Amino acid sequence: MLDVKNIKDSLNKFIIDPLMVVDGQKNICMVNEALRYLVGYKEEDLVGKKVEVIFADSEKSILKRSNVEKLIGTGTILNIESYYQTKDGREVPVLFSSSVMHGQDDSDTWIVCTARDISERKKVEEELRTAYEQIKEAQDQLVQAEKLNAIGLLASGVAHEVKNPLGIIIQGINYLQAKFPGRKEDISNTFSMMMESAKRANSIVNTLLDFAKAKKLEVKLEDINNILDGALELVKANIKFENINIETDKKKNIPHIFVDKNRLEQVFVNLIMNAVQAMSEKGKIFIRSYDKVLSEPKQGISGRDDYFKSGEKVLVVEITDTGEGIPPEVFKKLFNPFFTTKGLHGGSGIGLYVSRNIIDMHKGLIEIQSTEGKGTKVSIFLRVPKREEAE
Amino acid sequence: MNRKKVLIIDDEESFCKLVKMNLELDESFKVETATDGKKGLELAKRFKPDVIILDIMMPKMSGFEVLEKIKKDPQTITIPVVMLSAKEDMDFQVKAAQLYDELYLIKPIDAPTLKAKIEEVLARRGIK
Repeated sequence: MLDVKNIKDSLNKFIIDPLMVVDGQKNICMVNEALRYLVGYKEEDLVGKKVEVIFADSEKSILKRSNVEKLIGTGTILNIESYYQTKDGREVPVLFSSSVMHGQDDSDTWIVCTARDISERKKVEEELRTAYEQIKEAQDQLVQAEKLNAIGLLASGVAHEVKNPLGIIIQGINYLQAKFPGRKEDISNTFSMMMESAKRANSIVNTLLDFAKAKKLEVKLEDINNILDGALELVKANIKFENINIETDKKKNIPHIFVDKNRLEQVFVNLIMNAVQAMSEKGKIFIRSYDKVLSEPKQGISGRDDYFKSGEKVLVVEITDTGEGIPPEVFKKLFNPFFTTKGLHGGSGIGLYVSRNIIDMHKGLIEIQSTEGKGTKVSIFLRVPKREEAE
Repeated sequence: MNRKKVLIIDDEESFCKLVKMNLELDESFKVETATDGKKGLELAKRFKPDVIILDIMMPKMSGFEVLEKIKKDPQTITIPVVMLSAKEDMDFQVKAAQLYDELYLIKPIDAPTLKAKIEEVLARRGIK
């Protein structure tokens, strides 16, 4: 027989790793101080209990509560990652080893189980994993940015090459229209269709240039409320609002700001159309404009720190809808180019991407808040020029 | 009748021809064309246009080099120039507008708009 008392004293004194001895029936016979400290049980809570009591049933573990009784004692186990469960329910990662000892006869079997607390190592591993994922994400973003840059350059080059022949086509149609004025309806219709198509091709080329950020802004001091009105008129001319109610609350005498009227109108049209499309049957769109002094720095969705400083005066345009809201998995991809939830004929997927580019070019920010099932609010922040800049 | 004389300098020959055809639909216009900067400068001195339509992106000599030469030559210095380009570049626009006070137009441009812009420039010079 083993002298359990002597062994226990020695193990308590000399073994700093958590340790227990289990008998052939898988009952705990002895635990050392390090183990009691680790799991928070008293000795009497553990001795006599089945060995599995100390194991967590963690999915992450090979040796878990549900299979430990079957596995230990079948041979030597060396440094298997497992999880002990503390008295207060925490799971502690350990490196578990066990070895079978036989007494004088076969029924006299003991299993010595040691475990090394690897919480710190796991924590460092987790930190490393997170850091790695962050680096990988940053790298992916860089690669994506590079790709977009390359596409942008290509798009910009192609666009300029296309504009020259388009100029020739348009001048040619103009000449033919002048030479054959109102001759026959089918001829004039043909000219109109050709002209419309050439202009549509030009508009596609302009979208490509927007995508490539190759089009520059033509900024002037403008009243943002007029631009909002223009955008609303354009949207209303293009879609029917049978069950969609649009309300506006535009602040009077709002400061004028330096913007490219056409480009900003394009952004508002994009956002209002998105709001309309977010509501399948009926709903309300609320458009608001106001100015305010920021009480804290503002960081936009582009992730630029302190882009707007505290105390800075900004002009805000909010477009709120009572639509379906944006699911979290979609939210992450909102500004990705060519990402669309509108199906094959719904949209190109570059509306929000281009809108953000345009707002970026104005050194402004777009912020989106959305609750699934309730709706979405898109806020645009634009810098109000200081008095001397506006003069 | 004193015809309004327009010189078009653009390396796209078809574009030159069509702009000429469109403008000359109005008999008050007389148009000459050149497909490179060198020929354009020679023609500017000989033809003495009331306005020059000048493409920016041309091989051999860019529109801006042509513009500089026009503005340095006493024979052509007073001729207004309308810059025309497929490239919407802010630097180009600033250079065209600020350095030489010239109009900058973006291609593609339709015939009625181009004619209206030319007439606007000519009207500023008192040519109707």
